[in-house]
Order: sequence, then C-alpha cells, then structure tokens
Amino acid sequence: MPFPLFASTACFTPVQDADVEGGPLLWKAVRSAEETLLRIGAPDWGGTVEVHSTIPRGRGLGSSTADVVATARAVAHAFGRRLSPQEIGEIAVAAEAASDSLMFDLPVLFAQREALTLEAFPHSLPPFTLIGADFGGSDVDTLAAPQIRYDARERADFRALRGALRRALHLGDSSLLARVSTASTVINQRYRPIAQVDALLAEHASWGAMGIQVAHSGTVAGVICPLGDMDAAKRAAARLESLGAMEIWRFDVGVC
Amino acid sequence: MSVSVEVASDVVEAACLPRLIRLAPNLVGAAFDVMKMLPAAHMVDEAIREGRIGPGTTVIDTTSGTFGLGLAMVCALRGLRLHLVSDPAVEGFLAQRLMDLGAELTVVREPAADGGFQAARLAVVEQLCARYPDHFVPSQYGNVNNPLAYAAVAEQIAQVVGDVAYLVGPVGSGGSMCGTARALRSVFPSLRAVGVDTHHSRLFGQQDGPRLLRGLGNSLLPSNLDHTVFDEVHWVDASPAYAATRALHRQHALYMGPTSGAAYLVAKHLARRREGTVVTLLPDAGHRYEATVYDNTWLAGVCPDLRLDDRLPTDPEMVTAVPMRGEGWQAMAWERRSLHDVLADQDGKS
Repeated sequence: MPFPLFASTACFTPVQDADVEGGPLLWKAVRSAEETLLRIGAPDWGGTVEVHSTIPRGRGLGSSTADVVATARAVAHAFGRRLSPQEIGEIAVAAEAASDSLMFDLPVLFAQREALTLEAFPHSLPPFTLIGADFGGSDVDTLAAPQIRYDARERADFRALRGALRRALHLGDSSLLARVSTASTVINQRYRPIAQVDALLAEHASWGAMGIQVAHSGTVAGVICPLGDMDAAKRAAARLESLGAMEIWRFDVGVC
Repeated sequence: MSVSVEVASDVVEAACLPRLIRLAPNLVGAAFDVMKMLPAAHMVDEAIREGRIGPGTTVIDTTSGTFGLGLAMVCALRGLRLHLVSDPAVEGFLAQRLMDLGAELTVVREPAADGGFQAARLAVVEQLCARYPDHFVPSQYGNVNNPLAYAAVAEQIAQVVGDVAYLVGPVGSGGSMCGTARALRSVFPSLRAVGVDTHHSRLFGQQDGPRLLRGLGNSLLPSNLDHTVFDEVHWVDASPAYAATRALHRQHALYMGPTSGAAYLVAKHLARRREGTVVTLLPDAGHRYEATVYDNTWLAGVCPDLRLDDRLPTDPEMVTAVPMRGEGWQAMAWERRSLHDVLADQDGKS
C-alpha cells in the first residue's frame, strides 16, 4: 500500500574500478548498488551511495526496502537504464533477503523471501482513508523473526481470502478489501501479535470503520475507513491514541 | 472470471470446480460434474507429496457412490493401482466405469448386523490392507484433506459470488460443507451453514435405518463431520428430493443427481424466506440416475404418491428436537452445537 507521507531518496555517484561505498548504516543499499551494477552489465564500476530517508526504521513501514529500491533506481539511472519492478524485486531480495513489494505500482501477492510474484493484480487499490499508528516497542528485524509456518486450515482460509481479494480489486470494493485485510490480521495476530490490535478488531465496526490492517512484521497497524469519512477517522484516531499509539498518520489511498 | 491462458493438465484440473449458476436473484447453484474428484485428488496428491504413496502402493477404499468414481479417475490419471470395495448399489454403469478406469472392484453382498453395508465393506478393506502391505486408504470420512480440498471451492465462491449469507449442501462425509463453510467464514464470518440430511441417517442424531435417498446421509458418524459448523439442519425424504431434482431440470435445465435436488429444495426455501445470497452445492450430474430418478416408471414404483407436475413444497416442517421417526421434509435450528449438546439439550427439555 502506498504511504505518501514518507519517502527514501538515493543518490549514486559512479566511479570506475572502485568499490561501492556507503557506510555501515547503509549496508543494504550498498548491496543493492552492487547487485544492480552486476545486473546492468557494469561490474567494473563502483561509487558512492547516499540515501536520505524520512521513513521511521524498524516499524514495518518498509524503510529498508525503500532505501534498496531508491538505490537500485539511482544506479540504473546513472547508466541510462530503467529496471522492471520484477528486476528490482530480485535485486531487493538479493540485497536484504526479505523484501517488501513496494517496487510494484499495482497490488501484488509477493513472496518476500523469494522475490516471487505469486499474483499480480491488474487493478489499483480501491479508495479508502487509512488511519495508521505506530505502537512502538522494540524494533522489528524482519530477517531475525522466525518464518511463520501456517497450518493447513489457515492455508485453506488464505485461498478464500485470495478469492475475495481478487473480487475486491476487480470491483473496486473497498469494504470487501477491508474485510480481507481484517481476516488476514486475525491470522497474523496468532503469530506476530500486536497487543493493541485485538481492541481494534473488536471495536472498529462500531466507529464506522471497514477493517484493520497490520504490518506482518512490524509495530504499525491501521484502521481502514470509508474514503473521507471524517467521523470514522476521528473515532479511530481517538481510540488509537487511547491505546497508546506513539504516532498517528492519516492518509487517503486509491485517490489521485 | 476471465479465460485462463493455460491448458488444464488433466480433467481433474479442468473440471473439479463447480459452475456457479444463478437460479434466482439471491440463489446461486454450484453445479459439479463429479464433486468427489476434488477431495479424491487432494487426498491422493497430498499422500504422494508426503511420500505415503509410492510407485508400488495400492490405493484401497470403500465406496458405493461417486467418491469411488472420483478416486478411480484420479488413480487412473496418476497411474496408481486402485482396489475399491462396494455393495450392490454400485452395479451397472458405475461399476462398468470404475473398471474401465482400471479399478479392481469387490462387491460385498451381505450387510453387517450392526452398521449395515458400510461396516461390512470396512471389514473387507481391512482384509485387503493385510494382503497389500504397501497400501494407502484415503478414507474420506476421517482424512482431513477431504474438507481441506474444498478451500478451492471457497476461493471460487468468494471471488465470483462474494458475501454469502447461507451455504447449503448435502452432508455425507461432512467434507464439502465443513471445508467450504469454514474457509468462507474466514472472510465472511456471519455465513450460515445449512446441512441437508435424510431421515434414518445417523449424521445429525437420528437412528440408522433403511434410506431410499442415497448419496447423502450415513449409517456411521464420520469424524470429518464437525457438527459445530452448522446453523440449521434439514432432513429430506426421497420423494421431495426426487421431485426437486426433476424441477431443477425442468426449470433450470440443470441435469443433476438426487442429492442436488434435496439441496435445491432447501436452498430455494431459504432464498425465498431469508435475506442475503444463498449458495447451494449441487454435487453430481444426472447421467448416473437415468434409470432411476429420471425414469418415470421407476419413480412411480418407489414413490407412488409423487406428482412431478405439482408445485414443490416450499417450506419444511420446523421441529425443535431431532426427529426419531421423521418423514417428509423437516428442519431444525442447530445453532453450531455439537451433536452431544443437541441431544443433551433436548433431553433436558423433555
């Protein structure tokens, strides 16, 4: 889901017969640059990577993937090249082992450790207003978290969710999309629970909200409200605050 | 759904999902050719994946109905040896088709004193297992991959129909109704599951007895039947089920078997009386019943009072306890209780 409030910007200065430099904090971006140089046929080149990011780290907002994607695009750009989302996805997984799917413009079902696009949807997200919150707590290291092994019953549920997701995107049905997201949140709470999310799941319908969304590894969660429904948005924000959210964001998705 | 860009790898892949057909503004039929292809394929393919079926494995099972056909189709496609144990109900075209598909068939002639033909068939299965040490018994009544197979149907219904208020279907092993309803409820939690059984079936608390309507109901209690899935249970006799089967053909040109007729009767009633979309499972096509349900002479012999041109009954007789000597079409609120709780609740009331 696009999150227009934050962004990463990368700048790459190519140098021939040099290593890629970027400093220890940017090791994922450095690896992204190295991987990109190999892929575009410039293995003799290195250079300097600089990244400016406003995205909070370790919250499940895809901060490291944003750095990696911005860097890959900057490196390719320096050589007059453009990369497909799938190529960037492969670079991202090579650089950071598990990657978010934010290199795609349209919604995808993305295997984050394999860079495998399980399904690409030909429709953009339908419109809704998201009230997002960061509940804080310790930073999440996506790679260190054990991989979830869903049981057979959950895998069966995912098939129903996937059918409903196709329908929601095809029809532009925000309410159905929110129900799919809520069902996915319920399953995720069994493995990576965010304590405050149980209250959101129980109460959101009474505020006029359509559903709940979580970062599957992170400390952020969101309440999906009908687009422009200020009443639902206010009630959601108030509840997020009373649950101890450190930060609350409000933005519209699926609008231009 | 759009046209796929891939050719199906076999008939199971091509034809295991139902066609979803609107039968009334709020009623959708899910019409299968041979519904049991789906669980048969899932059980066999999972067993192959887990290494429980190898090149020398004999698949053995008991069936008198379309599960055997589904299993025989899958085993023929996967190159597996299959030995089926059945009773005289299998004879005729079905037996011919099973043998054509390469299945070996043992027909049990005498019912057991306790448990009828099913118990007698299970005894033969045990003997066969001893004879073939490398064997795999799918056993649709207990294999969790039977209900899990129906995730594919839940996916299809969620995609094509969306929010479903009522899911209706005949119950025999419990696989189709429990598997489809549970998966659909992950996204539509308020979905109500309505099971269709027949009188003298043990599934929902009646005592076992002779039943004219076959393909639903059971003389045994399968562990795949999770009673707590069901909101409502209907018991339908052969006569209204046959009438509804013919009505489904007459009114909708849907040529289906008698369990589909029983489900259609119940689904039509719900669609008329309740709010929301009703989806009903229609498990198999009518060809197997040409000489029975679709033969007026045969029908007149078994159901002398049946008038095919009459209007179908529109509503069941509502009962508050499991009918012990029930007949016709009866229904009861089950309220997602276990069988034990239902029987205890009604004992407490009486």
